[in-house]
Order: sequence, then structure tokens, then C-alpha cells
Amino acid sequence: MKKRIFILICISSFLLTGCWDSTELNDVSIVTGIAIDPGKEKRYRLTVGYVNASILSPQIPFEGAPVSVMTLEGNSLPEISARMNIGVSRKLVFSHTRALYINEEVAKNDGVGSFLDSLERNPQFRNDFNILITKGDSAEKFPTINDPVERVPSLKVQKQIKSILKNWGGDPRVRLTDFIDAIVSQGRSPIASSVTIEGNPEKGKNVESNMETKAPARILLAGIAVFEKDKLAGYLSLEDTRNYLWTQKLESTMVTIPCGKHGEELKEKLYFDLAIMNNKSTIKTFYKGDQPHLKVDIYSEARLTSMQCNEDLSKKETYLDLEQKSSKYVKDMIVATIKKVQDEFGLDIFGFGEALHRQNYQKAKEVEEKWDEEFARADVDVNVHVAIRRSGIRNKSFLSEVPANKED
Amino acid sequence: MKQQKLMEKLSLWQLAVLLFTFEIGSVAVVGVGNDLRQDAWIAVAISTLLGAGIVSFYIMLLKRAPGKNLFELMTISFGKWLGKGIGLLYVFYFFYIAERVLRDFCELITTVIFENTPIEIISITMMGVIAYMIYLGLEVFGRTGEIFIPYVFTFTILIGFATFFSGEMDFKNLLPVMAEGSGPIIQHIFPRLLTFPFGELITFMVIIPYVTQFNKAGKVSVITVLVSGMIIIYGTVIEIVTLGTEQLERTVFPLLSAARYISLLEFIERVDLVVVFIVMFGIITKVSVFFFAGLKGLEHITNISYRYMVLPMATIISYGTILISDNFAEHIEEGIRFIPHYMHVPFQFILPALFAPLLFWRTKKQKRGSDTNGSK
Repeated sequence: MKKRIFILICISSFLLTGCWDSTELNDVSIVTGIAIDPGKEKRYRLTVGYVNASILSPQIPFEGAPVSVMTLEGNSLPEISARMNIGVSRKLVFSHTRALYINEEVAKNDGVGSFLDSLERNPQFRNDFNILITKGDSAEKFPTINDPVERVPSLKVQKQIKSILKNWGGDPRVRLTDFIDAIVSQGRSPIASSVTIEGNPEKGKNVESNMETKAPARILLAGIAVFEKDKLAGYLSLEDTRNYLWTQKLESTMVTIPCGKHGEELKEKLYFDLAIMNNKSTIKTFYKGDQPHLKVDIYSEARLTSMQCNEDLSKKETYLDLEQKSSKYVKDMIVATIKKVQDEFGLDIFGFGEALHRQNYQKAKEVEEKWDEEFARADVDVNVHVAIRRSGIRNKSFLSEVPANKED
Repeated sequence: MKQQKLMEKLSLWQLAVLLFTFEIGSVAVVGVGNDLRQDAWIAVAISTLLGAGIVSFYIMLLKRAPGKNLFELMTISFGKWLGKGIGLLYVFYFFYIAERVLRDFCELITTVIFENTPIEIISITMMGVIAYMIYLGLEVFGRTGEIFIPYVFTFTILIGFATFFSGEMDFKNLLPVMAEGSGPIIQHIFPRLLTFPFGELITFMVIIPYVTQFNKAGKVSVITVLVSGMIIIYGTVIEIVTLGTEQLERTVFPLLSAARYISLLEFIERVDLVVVFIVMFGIITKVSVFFFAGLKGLEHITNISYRYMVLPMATIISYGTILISDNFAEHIEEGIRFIPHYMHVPFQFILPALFAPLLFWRTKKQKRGSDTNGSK
């Protein structure tokens, strides 16, 4: 019996090793950032930034670069990344990629479709990295910009995006699959986030830039990049990005609203601030006769965070008044953004077409082919209700208590 | 060597467990009704009801001659030689489907987890486990199921909750409901959804006769089919609302892709291996049931205890798994175009429907002759 068990263990030790797919941690390098530029001789120029793991260890403070970068040209991403080892010692592992920087030249001329397929197909890639279109500088510089806090550049970018999404909303929250779904979908045009470098990227490359309190180079978010199918069509500003997000799913944001009635010029420029917390938005698309209508209903809860106006916040009427003002203001903002997208691009980035597809399938089938034109000529109707709930730990502003020094 | 025929018994609970894992196994790998986009769950719901009907039909056949399995029933109705001939066809059918099911799993593993491992190794090791389990007998098989079912069930339920709380679900994806009308749904149900996964329960005509409380087996099977149907609907809805219809059409392993979205508290992440666990157990059950059914058929035809044939047949199946198709596209296309029409429908519906009247006639005569069976 014992002999038999022994033999069994011996046999199974051969069967259960799984040696084909074993990789030691010492043999891999973890890639955090990928940058794609147009190639000079070949189609693409790929830059990968992989982590120098030992520098991140808290025990051994080791001087050196937190990431290392390698650039290579080739015609497809899998081919280039497999060939990376002509200059990189370890096998590159892509499952922890945090940022994909795409040069706007590539996005504009070549389209992004052809390499997004290889990313979606590969089970190594997760759906949690950010697609970033680089404005200005070439994409290969982005994985090299050092940051003293996060150390790994691409991790910094990802965290930055996460934070701004939570606090203000300057990133369209688009992941790989969302992007691809939007390319395929006839009722939505794809968008991605865009980034720029502020400062001197040559200096930012140097690890010693981490010694400076004011970083010589910094990666900034720069709003939405709008795509037509898989080709870049243009950009929207950060404000518009926030407004776009407001129609979709906004976590929280901050708006500054002028005190005076809308359009009315005040002598002094006075504002009050609202921190918007809970948002609910519904998108409806319908036809009145032959005219398409786009309708967005927005309900937001807000907290007042600053008050330069001379109004008494202990009264209910003031709240109602401010609510009206801010609803109007936000509404105009969002309408302006939608109109701008209609006029400048004529591309439905908001997903109104998808809404029509859900709400009136027959009609959607009819207009599917020419939806973007339909979107461009549609009437826009935005309903905003901002409910101001509370105003911090003060009611009246001390500004209203200040002895009248002007013509009050 | 003991030549006596072991009488193996399966409890009702074990039967329910096997039925349940059998149903959700392959479905967890490749998903059902992906072509129907957001209406897949409706099709699954309808075919679950029809599936319950099919199972009660099979049970009704079995009740005509208690204790006799599918092959013995066929001998009763068609006579010795024709019955055995058709039985042999069934044996081929069962083994072939076992190979296909195993291939599904091997493709999943080689695509997602072991990219460099030869697919043969996976099919051989899996078949080794299955062969060992079947060699030990039906009781061991049932008990294995009993051990694993709590995990399989809870994990399946948890995947839905986890994706929901990860905020990755968008219930708007379920709209519009039945946009194209009921035509595509009906086309899809017959024959594809009706045969896979519900019609495949014909294999249980070989297993149900060994259940201890045979008279309750019918009720238990029908209830289990309904419950597993609900779980399949649950899984399908998860797939639709998480992936969205566009992605659902492109993805090869939908439930796995959906589970990849799970990310809770920045701590519970990359849990797609849980899906692989569910799939693995579902596949083991499914292949085992087909394998066992085929072996029992051989036993009936050759009059040799099936245990002697476990190893050779397991070898053939693990080899056949690789041989049946050159690449993944061929494998899937066969499964969609060829198998439902030319294999599932004849073996699951036409042949049973053919021998049912014969069976009724023969057993009626028998019952009149000797009333020992005691019709209840």
C-alpha cells in the first residue's frame, strides 16, 4: 500500500508541475505605461515603461530611476513587444498596464482600431487602464515624466485621473471596452481622455527632478478627445468634459455661479460656489414628426461652499433663489456643450442614439445609418434641477455683517 | 476479479446536484443565446420551461420499465439486435459530445490561463481525473458532486453580486426588449437552445434508473431543471448587463469576461479564476455523465462490466478531444451549424419519439402478462 502511494506521488509530481507556464517573478518586468507614436520606417513606434521593482521597496532606499523605458519600431504591437527583449533583460508582462498613451498623429491619420484589437484580444490586458491621447509632445515622452510622490509616472497619471473623477470630473471615464463598444455602436461616438505635458519634458525625464519642489515637468489632463469611428476628430476643453460627464454619470464637481441674474452685468464680479454631490441624469431621444429631440433630465444635490453675494443664507427664500440661479446656469452650460459638439463635430458622443435605440427601436433602425446628421440637427432640451441642501458650518456670510463701506 | 454486477445507488440529492452542475457547466464556458443580444435571457426562460417538459417526457419513458436504463429500454422496444445497434449509435454520440465538452474547457484553459501548455496535457489530466472517478463508480461521482456543489452554487451567485457592487452593471443594456419580435427567439430556441443544454439531459436516462427513490426522481429532476434554468438566466443577465450587447457578441467566454470586471474595495480583484473553478467542476460533471452514459451503453452491448473499458475509452476521448477540430472557429461552428441539427435533434427527440410508442406497446403487453412490477 505504502509503495503504491509512493509511486503515485512520484508520478503525480511529474504531472502536476505545470512547467510550461511557470514564470518566476525575477524573470519578468512589469509594464505600467505604453506609448504609441507613428514610426519612421515601420508603422508604429512603441515605447514601454517598465517598473524597476527594487526602487519601490521601502526597506532599501536605492538611488536610480523608478522606471526604465525602451522604444522600438514595428508594424503591430504584439510583434514589437515580443521583440522588446533585444534591449530589455526580462520578459515584459502587460497585465498591470496603467496608461496607454497614443500620439495624436497616430490617432488622427492612422486610426486606433488596428492596435486596439490586439489589446482587447490579449487576455493579459485588463480593462482597467486609461486610454490617453497625447497633445503636443510625442507620446514616448509621457512614460518618462517623473513624479516625486508616486514615482512611477503611469501610476501617477492613473491616480490623478481617479482623483479628478471623484472630485471634479475631468476625465470621460472611458476604458478599453467602452471605447471599442462606442466604435462599433451606431448610436455613440467614441471619446478618450487627452493629456499634455506642462514644462520641459527633457528635465522631467531626469530622476533628479524629483528633488525639486516645483516639478519641471508635469502631465496634465486636457479634456476629451473626440473620435469619428477610430480616427481623432478634435478636442473638447476640461469644462466641456465635466459637462459631458454631467449628462452621463458625474460623481461630484464644483461650480462657481455669478451672483447676479443671468446675463446681468454686476459692477463687482461676485460668485457663489456649489459642491455638487449626488447626480442623476436620464437621457431621452424622441422624434416629433421628423424633428429629432434630445432631452436630458438632471437632478443634482449641492452643498454651498462659498458665498460672496450679499444674501441671507438663513432664509429659505435665498436657497430657492440660489437654486433657481444655479439650475439655470448649469443648464446653459450643458446646453452650450451639447450645441458645441453638434456644431463642431456632429458626432454623438453622449449616446443619444443608443437611448433612441432603447426607447424607440423601429425609429432607431430607420435613422441608424445617418444618425450623426440627425444628431447634429436635433433640438436640445436640458432640464436641470439643483437642490441646495446645506451651507457648511455657517449660515450668513460674515461679508454681509461687515459694516457698510460702500454705497450699501 | 469479482464478476458480480455492483448495484450502485444514487440519492435524490446527488441526482439533483449532478443535474444542476451538468446544466450550468458548459453554459458557464461559452454562454447561451449570445446571438440574441439583450433577449437571450427570454429565450433561456422559455427553453427552461420546454426543457422541464422534455425531462418529464424522458422520465415518463423510464417509468414504463423501472430500473431499466436508456439502452435497456431500446432493447425492449426495438428487439435485441436493432436495439443494440441503435444503442451503439448512442454510445458514439455520447462519447463525441463528451469530447466536445472537454474541448470547450481545454480551449478556455489554453486561451486564458496556460497559454504555453500543450492542450493535450490538459485534456489528458482532466480525463485522468474523470476516468478515475467513473472507475470508482456512480456513488463516488455523486458524492464528489455533493462536496463541490456548495462552492459552485455560492460562487455563481456571488459573481453576480460582486459585479453589481463593482458598479459595472448597466441594466439599460437589457433594453429594448424583443425589438425584433419573437421570430429570432423562436428560431434560436429550436433547435439550439432546446438541445443545448436541456435536450442533453437524455444522458440522465442512463443515470436516473440508479436512483434509490426512483418514483420521486421525476419530480426532483423537473425541479432541478427549473432551478438550474433560473441560474442560467441569472448568468445570462449578468453577461448582458455587464458586457453590453456589442461586447457580448464578440466575446468568446462571456461569463469569464464579465467576472474580469469585478473589483471590490480595491482588494477583491481579478477573480476570474473563480469562474474557471465553476467551469471546471461543471465540465468534470458533464464529461463524466456523457462518459458514464457511453460506458453503460458499451456494457449493455458487450455484456462486459464497464470498469474494464474506462481506461481505453478515456484514452480515446482525451485524444479525440484534440482531433475533433483543427481550430477554435471550426469547433464553435460545428457546435452551431452541424451538431444541433444532425446529432442533437435525432438523438434527443426523434429516436426517443420513435421508440416511445413501441415501448408503450411492449410494456403494456408485459404488464398484462405479469403484474409483478406493480403499476402505481
